[in-house]
Amino acid sequence: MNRISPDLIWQAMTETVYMVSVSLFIGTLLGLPLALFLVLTRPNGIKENKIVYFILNSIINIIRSLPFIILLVAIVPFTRLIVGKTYGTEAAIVPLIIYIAPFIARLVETSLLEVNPGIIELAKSFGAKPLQIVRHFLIPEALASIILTLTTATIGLIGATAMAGTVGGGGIGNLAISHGYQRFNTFVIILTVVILIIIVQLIQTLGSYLAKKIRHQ
Amino acid sequence: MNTVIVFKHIVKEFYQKKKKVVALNDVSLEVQKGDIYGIIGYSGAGKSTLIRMVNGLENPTSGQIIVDGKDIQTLSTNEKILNKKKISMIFQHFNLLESKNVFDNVALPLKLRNESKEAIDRKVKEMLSFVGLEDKDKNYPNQLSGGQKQRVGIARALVTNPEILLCDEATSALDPKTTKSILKLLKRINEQFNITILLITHEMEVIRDLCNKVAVMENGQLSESGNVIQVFGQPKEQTTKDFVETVIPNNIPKDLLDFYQKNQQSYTLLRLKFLGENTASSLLYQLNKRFNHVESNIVFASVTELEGTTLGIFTIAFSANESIIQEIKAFIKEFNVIVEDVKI
Repeated sequence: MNRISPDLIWQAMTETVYMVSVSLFIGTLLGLPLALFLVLTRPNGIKENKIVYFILNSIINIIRSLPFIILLVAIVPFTRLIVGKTYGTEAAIVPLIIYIAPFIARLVETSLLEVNPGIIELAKSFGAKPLQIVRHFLIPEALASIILTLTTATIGLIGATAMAGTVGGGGIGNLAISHGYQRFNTFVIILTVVILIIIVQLIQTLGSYLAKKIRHQ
Repeated sequence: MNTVIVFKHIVKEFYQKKKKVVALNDVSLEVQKGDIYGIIGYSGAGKSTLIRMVNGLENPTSGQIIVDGKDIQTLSTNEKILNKKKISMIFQHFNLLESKNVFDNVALPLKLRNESKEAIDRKVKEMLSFVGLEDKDKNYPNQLSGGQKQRVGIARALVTNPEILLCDEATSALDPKTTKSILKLLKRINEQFNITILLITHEMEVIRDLCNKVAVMENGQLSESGNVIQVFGQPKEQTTKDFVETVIPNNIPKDLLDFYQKNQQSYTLLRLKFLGENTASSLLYQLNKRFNHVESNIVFASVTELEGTTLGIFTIAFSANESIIQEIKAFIKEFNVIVEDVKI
């Protein structure tokens, strides 16, 4: 059996964690406001605006229809513009953000729309302004659901990082392909599968725990 | 007495699948300071749309809503917010924020007004003790019963010292016992803080136990309105009669009905309606004394308390000829008691 150095595994894990956390963070920074704009400007929303809604909705739909591997290569010029290179972990992060931000926006939009319409009516009966409605009513009421949404997004991101190897992003997925699949090393494949399962389990457990805590159950 | 809410020729139309629906059709109504005004109607009658116009949650297609002497549609955005600040609302499904505990739910409207922490703390505690939930301040809504949730809703509505309280089917989701306790609380609010209450309901018990004025709504129009005693005693429209019957049974038991139907020739049934218990006993006594040769049987009787006085409805069978019946009717009318024929 072909052994693999623990250093290599450690490095792959660090790369995955790095890619996932940076793209999740920036993706959330972009996705959350996008989701709020979608909810506010939608037909019958608090600040209905057909044009803004149509534009945002279309952009999100277009990006969401591309498989990640296509997106990754399609935006290479854009990636170069942003990080100055088209190869390496940083170069993988740009498409990951572009991929995950609309995904987060769509999921968070659903979470926000699930908030009891009675709560919005209550806010309006207080004479709350749109920003106050978002801050004091919409977000607190949707928070548990948003946490679960971000959990789903994180797991989706881990899946996407497996393809980051295409642009030399590294990570666990890349390790499985380059050291496992291409070198016929079953041990490495099994090892990476186990690592991925453990990471996903940990993230899901943490997300569910936080959501439960916020819901006071 | 001053008028606090006036609806003037309110019309509300909207389009549903390109078809025009008239939700409110020329509704006019006046609410005086200190009133507990109940609007009753079946679901879909338009009452929910109407009450939401007072605090601007709905806008009429045409017509005016005047609150405290001001047409609220002509107000600027800031004035509209000011207007909302003197109006509070409680809801059928309470609309509590599940993510906040009882204290924070009640504190919410004060937070939006940027009140100081000390002021919020003092007012919220005061209100929670008023509604009897001072020990529940750290609880979350999902740990409360329906009645407790509505008490939190009421505390939240009162914490801003409103002049007007709107109640949107506030007891419809509660069991009868809890309903009674919430109605008592609302009455106490009206008396203690002199808050005008406008409520909508489909339960006549709410009107009977709480209101001094009532309007009956049907298909987007007010079919009847006035003092509760007057509307309960003399319902004119069929819908009103149906609603009144849900709390004041007016049906003669079947056995008796069969008997009187068989003996229609020998008996005439009269229904007497009067206010105040003394009138009743005195009238029946005088009636028997004056017409001591006439057989009279009480077929059905009910006494209901309304606004601190009693409304009595007696159905009496008299065995007498037509001319005596006319004498009896005239005699009853002298007591200011309403008398009507009962068709069987």
